[in-house]
Parts: sequence; structure tokens; C-alpha cells
Amino acid sequence: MGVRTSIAARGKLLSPGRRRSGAAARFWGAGRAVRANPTLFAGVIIVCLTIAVAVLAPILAPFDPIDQDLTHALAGPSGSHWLGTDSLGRDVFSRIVWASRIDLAVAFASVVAPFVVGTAVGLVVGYVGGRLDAIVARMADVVVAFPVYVLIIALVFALGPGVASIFIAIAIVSWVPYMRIVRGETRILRSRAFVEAARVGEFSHIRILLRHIAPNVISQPIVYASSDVIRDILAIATLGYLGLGVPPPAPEWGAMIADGQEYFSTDWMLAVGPGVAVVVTGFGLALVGDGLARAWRIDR
Amino acid sequence: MTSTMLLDVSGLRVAFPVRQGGHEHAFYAVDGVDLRVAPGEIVGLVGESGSGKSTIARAVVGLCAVESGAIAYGTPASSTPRVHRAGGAVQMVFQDPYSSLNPRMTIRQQLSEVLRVHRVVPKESILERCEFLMRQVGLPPQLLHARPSQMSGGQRQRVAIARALAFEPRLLVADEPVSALDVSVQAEIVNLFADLRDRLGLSIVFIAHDLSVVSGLCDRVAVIYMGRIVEQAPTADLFGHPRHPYTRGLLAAVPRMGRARAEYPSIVGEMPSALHTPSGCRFRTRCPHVQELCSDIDPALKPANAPLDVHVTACLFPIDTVEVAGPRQKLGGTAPQ
Amino acid sequence: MTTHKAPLLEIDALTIDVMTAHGPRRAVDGVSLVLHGGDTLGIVGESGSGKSLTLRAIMGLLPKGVIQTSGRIVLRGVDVATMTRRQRRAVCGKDIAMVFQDPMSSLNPVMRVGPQIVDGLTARRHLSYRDRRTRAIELMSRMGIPDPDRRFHAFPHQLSGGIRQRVMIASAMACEAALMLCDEPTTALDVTIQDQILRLLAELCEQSGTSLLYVTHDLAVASQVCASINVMYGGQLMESGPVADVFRSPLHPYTLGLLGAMPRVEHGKRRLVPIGGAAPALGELPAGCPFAPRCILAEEACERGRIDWRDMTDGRGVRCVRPLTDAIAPVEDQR
Repeated sequence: MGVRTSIAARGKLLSPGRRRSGAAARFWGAGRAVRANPTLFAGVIIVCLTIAVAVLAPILAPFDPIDQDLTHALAGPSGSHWLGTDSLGRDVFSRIVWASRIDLAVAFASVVAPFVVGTAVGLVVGYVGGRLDAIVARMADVVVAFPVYVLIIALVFALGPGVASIFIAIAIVSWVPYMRIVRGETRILRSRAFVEAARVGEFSHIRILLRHIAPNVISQPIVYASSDVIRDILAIATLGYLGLGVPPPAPEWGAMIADGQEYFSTDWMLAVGPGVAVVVTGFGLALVGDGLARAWRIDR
Repeated sequence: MTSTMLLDVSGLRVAFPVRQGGHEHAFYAVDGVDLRVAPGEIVGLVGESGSGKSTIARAVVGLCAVESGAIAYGTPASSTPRVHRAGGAVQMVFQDPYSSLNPRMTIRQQLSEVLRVHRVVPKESILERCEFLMRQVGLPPQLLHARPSQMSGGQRQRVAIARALAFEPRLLVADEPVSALDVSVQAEIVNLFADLRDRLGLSIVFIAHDLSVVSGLCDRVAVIYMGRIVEQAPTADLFGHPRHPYTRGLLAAVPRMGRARAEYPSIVGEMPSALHTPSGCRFRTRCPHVQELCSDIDPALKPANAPLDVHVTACLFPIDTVEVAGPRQKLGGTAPQ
Repeated sequence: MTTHKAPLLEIDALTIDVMTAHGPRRAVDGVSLVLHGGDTLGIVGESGSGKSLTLRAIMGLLPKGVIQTSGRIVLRGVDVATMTRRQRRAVCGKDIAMVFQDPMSSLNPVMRVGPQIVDGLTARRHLSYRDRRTRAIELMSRMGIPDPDRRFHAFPHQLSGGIRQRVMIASAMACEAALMLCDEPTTALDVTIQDQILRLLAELCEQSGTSLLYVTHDLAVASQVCASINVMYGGQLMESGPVADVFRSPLHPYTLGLLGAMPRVEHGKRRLVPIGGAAPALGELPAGCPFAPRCILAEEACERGRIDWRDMTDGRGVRCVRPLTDAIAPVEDQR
């Protein structure tokens, strides 16, 4: 003892009512963040709705999405076919609903791998620096220097169309931004005093990376990921439009837009319907990204 | 004598690469520094920004690569330019209390991490030790549950000190630990350092640009200029009878209460870039007493009066104590009092 | 002290609120100041005392979300609230110059420093650029900038912090303002450079009769350039008076505490006396004296309500229920 307990300390004490155990505090913290952050709230609702649509597709869709009925081809909106039918007589609304499954699944799945790889590489490269940093930076430059779609198209041609090809193609390209974001943040954090204190304390590099640096950089790639999902959906749609995406007859938004544009002057709903689905999903994810960025900025 | 020293730095040189006009140069942020710290001693390092005082601290704790020289902890210096790891015996307190704690961890997590990883105490007494550490730095143990963002600057700096103490160090290197704090809080932290020395027998290397803080706390002060120690003496001796013109100027520049100006001229100009180190004495470009010889001879640290004097100065024409006491008309045309 | 008919600057019961997520929080609470031509006035306070906001309010430079809720700022007898935006800008440009803590943020980074000083020569618009340039270089050399001809063409980032601050002061002096507002201009500088700048400021004010309003956290710095001083705490003025008197016999316990907590070279090795506690956070101001929770002399009356300002003899004043005075009696007692 000996040191006088200052009033400063006493004055700053947390009131016991506000102190909660870790998990509960985080839950309440998140709840408060949503209330204080309408952007995030709105985004989460939109994204949850699209996910719900994907999950509940068998219930929501009145028709089988690949069931053809050539007698009712290109029938306009009606009581039974809300958005009409396409050139093969398939129900457009049902196809949009079912397509959300494929589009969302591929988009989210193809974010996970780049996120993990990019973040891990960025952490290590940013922390170690030097030669390794230079080598990885050049590799990233090479990947980025390629026009993204040309690279994806080349890969899809090499591997053949299909969900797996799209997945791999996107993964190879899109780890780079994650790596760059995390690398930059890590480099800044490396010279922050608390990381230097950990180094003086002779903690292992793994511990410093995982315990002290990673929790402080992870918000950045997560925010980026929410906008990356949008890009992936657009990429899938674009590939579908180019005929390189999910093979027919499986419903996919991009392919539907491509098919529908032929009949745009007469049956505009064929292209606009899936287009709106892409826009709404992208909008929701963008809001989530913005909201997360704002929620985490206060804490930093 | 050396064997009783806790920290023995000799011939320390730290180089940083600089790219200028396509060529790689090395500039020496620290250029041949000897520094000894006895157990329980508080040694102050003062100098302007860019003088290399922080680099000395960072080299001592192993945060920057040493070009040559030896840093020894508790044992006589070895001649190899290798840094011996201190195993937690040397810890550092940083300047900015707002960046020296992990914002994502509670205070308890940060303290117990040290205790657990370094097995300072058995697992079951970690919490008890955390509370002890908090009391030791004058904080209530309830604050263990807080996160850094919920604390004031002074409290954070105390936590940073508690975190350093968790290693049970023998030497604390404090790099400008109070310059980011308000005056009233600053006094508490300065007193805390004094208390820790008295109670734990800690040695402290205290770096500051503010001479007044150093004057009240340190036993011995080394004045750093362009990567070198230019004068070193027990605090009272250094501040009472500075012999190096730089020390004199630095002291004169400290703002004092009341409008009375220090009668000694303040230092003119600015520290030259390390890429253009003056020949001979490095201070000669700003020295009020510069003579021809100063540009030829690089002065070494020499005892001031008696051969074994602890007051050492690196000046060819050190200011005579007699002259300090006498009239000052000689000194650069300043008005007499 | 020179007295004009109307004071150069008069601040009357200035109140400033900061808008937070939890509603408005008082940051400056009823600050009044009078500054005559040629006065050098210091405002001393710790972070959060409201000293910088007070200064910014004069220039109309309050940051977004910070609002002046009441009080008057009167420049040469004219209330700035009655001025149009353009008038105010004209007055601020002509009569008031400001020097900030960080010169880098107030100098244009992509413009050479010389032309920036030339632009400041508003009073000399009638001169040719050539003449104004000569004058700017003259000013630079008067500010102690070595090699001004060469530095004229330098960009701000090519200069050291000390030289940059000299450039700032040069461009402030360029418009020949009657009043110079300084917001901690030497805080980021080394003691040696700080000393050079302080000497320069003191000399300039003496020579050209420029008034100075100098905000700092450092009592000693204020004492070097100011004739009188105002001590702020928790948004309120705690004490004011001539520098020497305030330091020799402080009236407010806070001033006394600050003096005790301040390390001083001339005292040698000595234990400091901290005030204890921490400054109140924004919005956590107590009902009574803001310093009461930290004051060793606090009594019940201190916490009851707002403490009134008391004018004392010798141009001094204090906001304290029981000022630390035996020698100095309140003005009303003398009558």
C-alpha cells in the first residue's frame, strides 16, 4: 500500500448496475448499438429478410422453378403468376425466390475463403514486414493488375462453368483487398505502444498477433466483407449474364436478367424482377457495412 | 563498480537507414553512449526531440536493433555487441497513455495475461495479485473490470505502470511518461515513480524533455545532444553548476514563474539534421562560447573537477563554476541583472 | 496599462455548450474578460477547462456541434452577434490574428510559405507584389527565421516545427492586427524553441503594442508573456489578476494547487503536491464550485450553488466562497 487512492479513481468507478459479465455485456452492447445505429438496424432487417426468403423458398414459391409450361410461355402478370412467366413458361416469381438460394449461398461462401486467407496473410505480412511483405505485395499487384472479370472468365473457361468454378475464381482474386486492409492496419498497430509493451514483455509473436493485434484489426475486413458480398452477387449475376455462371436450368438472377432482356420491350418484368432482387440484397448488405463501420468507429 | 550496476550500457550505437538522393545512408540516432544505472537509482535522460534519448530507451528494452556496443543487465558488460535478453527484468512505460493499453481487453485481462504467461504467480492467486498491483499504483481494484476507454489519462498511465510492475521488473524505462498529462495529474504520476523506487527498490530510467520534472525526481541526470551524452552529474550538481553550455542553455530556456528572464542567453537556432553532423563538437553550431578548436576536436566526456568526479562533461571549454558565480558580462552580451 | 475609450475586446458572460449524444453539455460557463489595447492576457487551465473554446468563440471558429448559447463578445464596442458574416470576417481578418498549436494545420500544405505571408499583408494591398514580397521577407527575418530569402520559397513540410510556428506568427503579424490570439503555440515545441518563440512574442507585443490573448496549460509559460492572467477550471473563471500577484499569493485553492503540483527547476529535488482527483468530465460538473470535489478547503457552501465572482483590490478577482486571503480584502469591505 502506501499510495493514496485518488479521488480520481473513485470518481470514475463504474456503477455496479452497469457492470455485466462479458457475454451479456456484449449482447447488450450490440442491442444498444442497433438502437443508436438505424443504418445497421435497417441493413440487418433487409439482409435477414432476403435470407428468410432463401430459406423459406419451398413455402414461398407457388410453382416449381424449373417446371416448364410452354403453353403459358411469356404470359404477363396474372393472379396465379404474379410476375408472369418466361419464354419457357416458368413462373418468374418462383424463379426469383429460388435463385436467392444459389446467389446468396455462393456469395457468402465465396467471401469466407478470401476473408480468412486475406486476413491471415495480411496479419503475418504486416507484422513481419521486410522481404516477405515485399514479395506478397508484388504477388497481390500481379493479381490485381489483371482485369477482374477477364481473370474470372479465364478461370471459368479453364475449369468449366459451375458453382465450384465461380467459387474458386472469386476466391483467387478477392483475397487481395482483405490482405491489404489488414496489412495496413497491422503495420499501424505494430508501432502502437501496447503492442510494443507486449514485445518488451517478451510475449510470443503468435500471442501478440492473435491476442493484441487481431482483435483490433478484425472490424475492418468484416466491414469490407459486407460490401464484398455485394460484389460477389454482382459477379455471379454478371457471369450468369455472360452464360458462364450457374448452368441452366437452375434459377440464378444474372442468367434470368440475361434471358429476360430479349423480351424487355414486351415483358420487362422478366429482367426487372431479378434486377430488383439484386439491388435490394445489395442495398441491405451495403447498409450493414456502413452500420458496422459506424458502430466500430466509436470504439476505436 | 560495474558489477554492482543493474544496467550497464557501453558504447551504444543505433543506426537508422535513410534514403537520400537514391543512396542509402546510415544516420546514428545514438552514437556512442555509456550509461550505468545502480539498483534503486533514478536516472534522468533529457534532451530536445531528435536527440536520441528515446532511442536509447528503446535499445535498452530491446525494441530497436543495436549497431554496436553492449547492454548488460545485472552482469558486467560483455564485449560482444549482443543484447542479452533481460527476461522481464526490464519493462517500459510509454508516453501516450491512450495507446499503451489494448483497447479490446479489460484491465484485468491485460494484467492477468502477464501473470499467466510469465508464470509470475500460481494460477489461483492471479486475481489477488491483480488487485495488489492496482493498489500499488493507487487505483481501486474495482477498476479491474473497466476497459481503457472508460478511464482518464492519469488512470491509464497508472494501469500501464501496473502492467509493467506485473513482470516484477528491476528496471523501469519510462519514456516521457508524464508529458501527455495535465499538470495536476502529472504530479501524481511523478510521485508514484518516486514511491515505487522507495518501496520496491526499482531502478528507473526516466526520459523527459521537461527539465523541471526531472529535477524533482531523478538522482542523476544525463543530458543528450545529437546522440551523445554531453553532460552527466547528480541532479543538484547538474542543475546548480552546469558546466556544458548546452545544459546551461537548456536550463535557461525552461520557463520560470514570474516575468524575470533567465540572464543567461537561451540557445539559438535548432539542432542540425543528423545527416549533417558538425565536425568536432556537435554543439558548436549553437554554442555561445564556440572557439576555433571546437570544430577540430570532438570532446570526450571528462570528469569536471577532480579526476574521479562523477560530474562529467564533454566540452573543451567547460564553464567554470567560479565564472557561474561571478559577473556574466562575458557571456554573449546579455544585460547584467 | 493603456486604456482606450472602448476596450479592444470584451467578453461578457460567455456560455458555450457542446452537443453530445446525451444532450447539450456545458463547456464554458459565464466567462467574462476585458482586454484593452496593449494588454497581454493569459488564460491558463488544464484540458477540458474550456480555455480553447473561449478563444475559438472570439474568432467564430467553434467546431461543429459546439454552440455559444449566451453571452456577448464585443470587439471595439461592436457586438459580434450584430455583425453580418462578412463584417465579422473582415473584422477578424483585420483586427484579430490567430496562432494555433499546430502550425501545420493552419498553413496551406501545397502553397509556399512566402506567398502565404504575402496574402496576410491585407493592410498593404495598394503595394505591388514585389514590395509586399520584400516586406514579407523583412517580417520573416524579424521573426528570426534564418535565411528568409530561401525559406520564402519553402513548403510548410520542409520546415521544422519551430520555423513553421515563426511563419505562422509572421503571417499573423503581417495583417498588423491589434489583437493576437494564441492557442498553446509552443506546446508541441522543444523548450529551447519554446523559449525562442516566447521571447519573440514578448518582444513583438512590446514593440508594436499588439494585444495578446494567450491560452496555455502552463502557468510558467503564461507568466513569460502575459501581464495578467485568468485561471479557468471546469468552464468557469476561477481567478484573475496580475501575473506576479496571482503567483505570489493565489486567492483560489485551485491556483494554489496548480502551483504546488508544478515541477520547478529552481526548487531542486522535491516532492510535488498533487491536487488529487481528476478534472470533471464534460457534463459531470457539480452544482456548486466545479473544484469543490477536489478542494481540501471545501465546505458545505461550496456545493450549494453557483459561486459568485468577487472583485478584489489591485485588479484581482476570484470565484471562491473563502478566498485564500488575509492581506487582500474584497473591494466592498474596503469602502
